[in-house]
Amino acid sequence: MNYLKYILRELKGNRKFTILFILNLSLGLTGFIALDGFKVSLDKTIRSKSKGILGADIGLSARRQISKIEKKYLEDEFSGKFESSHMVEMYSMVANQSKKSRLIQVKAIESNYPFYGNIEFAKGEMLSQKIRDNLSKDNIAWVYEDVLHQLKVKIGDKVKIGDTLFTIRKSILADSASGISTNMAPRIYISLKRLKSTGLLRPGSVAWHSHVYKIPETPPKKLEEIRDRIFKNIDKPDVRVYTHENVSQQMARMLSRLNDFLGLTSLVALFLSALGTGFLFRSFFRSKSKQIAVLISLGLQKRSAFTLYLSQVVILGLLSSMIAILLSLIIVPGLGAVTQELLPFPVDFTIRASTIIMGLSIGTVGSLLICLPILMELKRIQPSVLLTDKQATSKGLIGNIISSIPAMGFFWALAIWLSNSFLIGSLFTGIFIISGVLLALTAWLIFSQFNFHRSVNKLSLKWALRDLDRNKITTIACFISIGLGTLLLNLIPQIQKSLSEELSSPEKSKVPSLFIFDIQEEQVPSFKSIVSKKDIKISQLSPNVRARLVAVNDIAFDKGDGASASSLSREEEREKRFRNRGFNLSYRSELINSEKVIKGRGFSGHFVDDGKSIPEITLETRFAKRLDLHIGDTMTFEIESVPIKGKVVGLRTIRWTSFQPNFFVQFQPGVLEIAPKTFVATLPSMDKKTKQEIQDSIVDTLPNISLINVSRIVERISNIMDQMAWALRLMSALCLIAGFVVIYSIANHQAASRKWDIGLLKSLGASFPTIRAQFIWQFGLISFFATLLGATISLLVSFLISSLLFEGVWAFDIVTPLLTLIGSVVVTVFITDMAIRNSLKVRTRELFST
Amino acid sequence: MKNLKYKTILLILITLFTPIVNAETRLLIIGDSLTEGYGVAKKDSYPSLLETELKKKRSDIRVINAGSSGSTSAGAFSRLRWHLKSKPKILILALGANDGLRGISPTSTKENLQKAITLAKKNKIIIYLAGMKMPYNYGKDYQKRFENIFSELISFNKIKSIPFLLKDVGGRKHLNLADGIHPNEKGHSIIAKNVASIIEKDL
Repeated sequence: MNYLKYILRELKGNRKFTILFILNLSLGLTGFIALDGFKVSLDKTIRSKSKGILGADIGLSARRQISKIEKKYLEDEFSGKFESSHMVEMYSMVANQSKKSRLIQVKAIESNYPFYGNIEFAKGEMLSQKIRDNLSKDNIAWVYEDVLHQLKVKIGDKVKIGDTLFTIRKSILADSASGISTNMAPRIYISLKRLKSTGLLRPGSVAWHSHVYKIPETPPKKLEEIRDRIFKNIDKPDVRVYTHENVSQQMARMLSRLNDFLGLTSLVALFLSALGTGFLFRSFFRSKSKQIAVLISLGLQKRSAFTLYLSQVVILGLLSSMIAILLSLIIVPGLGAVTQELLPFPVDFTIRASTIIMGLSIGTVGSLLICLPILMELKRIQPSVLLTDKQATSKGLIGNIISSIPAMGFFWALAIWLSNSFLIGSLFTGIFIISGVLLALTAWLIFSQFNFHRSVNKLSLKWALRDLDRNKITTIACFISIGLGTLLLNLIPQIQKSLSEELSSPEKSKVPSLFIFDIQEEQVPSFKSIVSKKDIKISQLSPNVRARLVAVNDIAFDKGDGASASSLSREEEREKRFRNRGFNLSYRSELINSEKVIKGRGFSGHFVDDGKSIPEITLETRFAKRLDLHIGDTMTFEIESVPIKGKVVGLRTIRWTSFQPNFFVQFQPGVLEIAPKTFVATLPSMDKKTKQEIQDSIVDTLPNISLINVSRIVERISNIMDQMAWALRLMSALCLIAGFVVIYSIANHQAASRKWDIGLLKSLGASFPTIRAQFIWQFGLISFFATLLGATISLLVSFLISSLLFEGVWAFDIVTPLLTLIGSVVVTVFITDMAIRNSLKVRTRELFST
Repeated sequence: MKNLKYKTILLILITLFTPIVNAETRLLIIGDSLTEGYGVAKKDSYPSLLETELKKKRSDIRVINAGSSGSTSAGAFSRLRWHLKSKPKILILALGANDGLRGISPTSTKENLQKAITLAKKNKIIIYLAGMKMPYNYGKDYQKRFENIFSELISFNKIKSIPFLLKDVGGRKHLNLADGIHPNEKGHSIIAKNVASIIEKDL
């Protein structure tokens, strides 16, 4: 009890220090909690959009009925808490009453589908329970707008699906569950109960049977685990098991990248708060060393002093964490309203319990572990310290590093827990430690080894450099803190920049609205003429040559090893089919803007056959990786039995969000021109009327050509990608702010801790401008070099993380490091100047009193 | 420059075909993914198996696999024209399935196939037209119209037929890949035997 009273009296006695300390620590922890809150909320919002694409959490489908046993495998995983829906999809020729028929995708659903997302009908009407229920009450159809145009029908007309007439009751303007794969035809929804009457579903029909599920509150990781388990249990290659995230490979990749990125921001926030906490507590103890020495000289036992200050740490940490939690609870939910205007989509901001626990544990256990090495120094504090100008005893740099191991271990464990990955958590901690060592070595070299002060004449700069050399430990600690702070705050914007580049959508005018394929070579002039008559410019027209890869480096490529399908695992079976499927080849003289050669080179020009040369090939990087192909490898293709050999000269990345026809394998011009081929083309966005006229002209004059209206899909993918890009930018900006808060705290404390030196200089008669200039030089130099090095390391680390986590997507960004460099120096100098001015105003006697 | 490009391709064709042109009987199969052997190794596709099967009767037979996944009847004429350089004796025209699956008008498919047949006849090639069927989900009317084009072309041109390329294979789960459409190795083997039994009389 006496202890508590003494602690509270002590804290009250140092009110100014306590308030400043709690404020700084609370700010750091609020940053962490708010960042995590943002992360969770953004992730949840974007994922719910992704759920809308499937209309469910998870699903099973096959081109046959799914058996009860197969369904049970999945349903047993949910322990009774789920809703399910059955649907059947098929293509059929649907006719109007004048017997004009068109290919349509018929989707027969139950009334509870979709679980997520929405369907928007004409006149802004949204899917309601009543509309859902009415679908099964009669032979009713909801049709996509394109169906009305293609079959020349309107609402209220009848269409013949199989043997049955259905009345068109609704026209669909937007369908979140339209999927993101390209459908060959527009869709009609009918009730599953009414499908039987059409006579379309019978042995010999090709239809997808799906069972989709809604499982409330299942985290994405768990869903993926369930999917993987079911995938293994139902060992039949014809059954697909998918979650809302892997409906599309591209979308899955981007969602997984977003997840990794948001995980990184949490790690950055954690380390930033640890850095701030660590620095503040160490400063706190160093400033208390004289007070402890006084108490020891008055007879206080070291063990009691240890307990006393340990309790102070816990109380300060607890108070700061609680204030941080309160602040976050007020700030974070309020951000929903603030960002409503700013963000293109509404986000429901919440803070999860685990984040609060994490904040509390960093504030208390983390603080304790960070301070433990300094507390251990209590053993070495002697009353003689009162007679020296030193503020604390020190075990030296190596001793400091060794005594920091428990704290490092604690934050390493937290990093693993937070990232949910041993590898990422360890990698991040490792990078952090190595960077710290690098910064320490650099600081030691710059400020201690070169003795710059001897060659400098300017008094304030000379004193500043000498002081930096004399206070090695403080200098290095400050250098490490600012350097690591810069590294962390730079890292996220750097990675964000690289990821955003991949997410960026093309300009609105360049977004394709029609994807056209199977254009025969002799049809190209007619196709061009139809399009140009409507004043539309073809976005892209690419030749497409079908080929089979028969050999790589003259060794047979196909896996014709005779193994029967039944003796292969599902993965082996898939791999075998992949290797044995044909490939689409193309040729282009130049790269288009969605392509970039990242390894090797582009084509050397038109192929000239001199009897020795081999035509050049460039490959898409992931394709090359999957087939284990490298630069210099030769590939032999067979085009309708004619072999063509090429040599890989370059690897390309393709920005799939450009929505342009792209090819895994491209040949140098001058090789494939004479081979049998078709063309694929894209047309840019255009008004509805022009699009319909072009579609009609093509169907009438070039009936074999297939057109896919991709506006809907492109719009949906662009929308989600934009949201992801927003999430990246937002989190990146927040990390910058949190980083600057930490740098502010460090600078503020560093400046405040030099009051004793200021008093000494004042009493020795140094002029105020010289004292000010000396400290500004001192902190300006530390800040400049630490930021410069921190920002440089951040570039290297972002490159490393991008290579490991984001498949090498990395874009060099000089703006953020430059801004950080300027910002950090300005903040440090400004804070130092403020603190020095305040200290200079105070009488010398008072400066020595604390 | 353009001449060189043509030279390159011609050189390949010459190297491939000329030395054995007089010694070989060439059977050209122009088709889609079924002929290409989608998902199976080249040696397990029905054209390769057919060659092995026919070689039992006639050792100089050579089957040219001109299968291309996703191709429609629209490319039949130009592809045949390209392959005429190899002087095929027999042509199996196995196109049309993708036309049907994409809902292309049967009239258009018929016209495309007719153009290819006319070109083959002009070059005195023995023609076999492979019949195709549509799945039931496309509706009875379309199914019937689609299937009729093959019988009409056969009788009009007085050519030979392979009544249904996927005979004894289509719709049988154990003979097809997971997609339920493309034959697996066993399926291809049955197709090869069926086709061989039909065309071996012309060898």
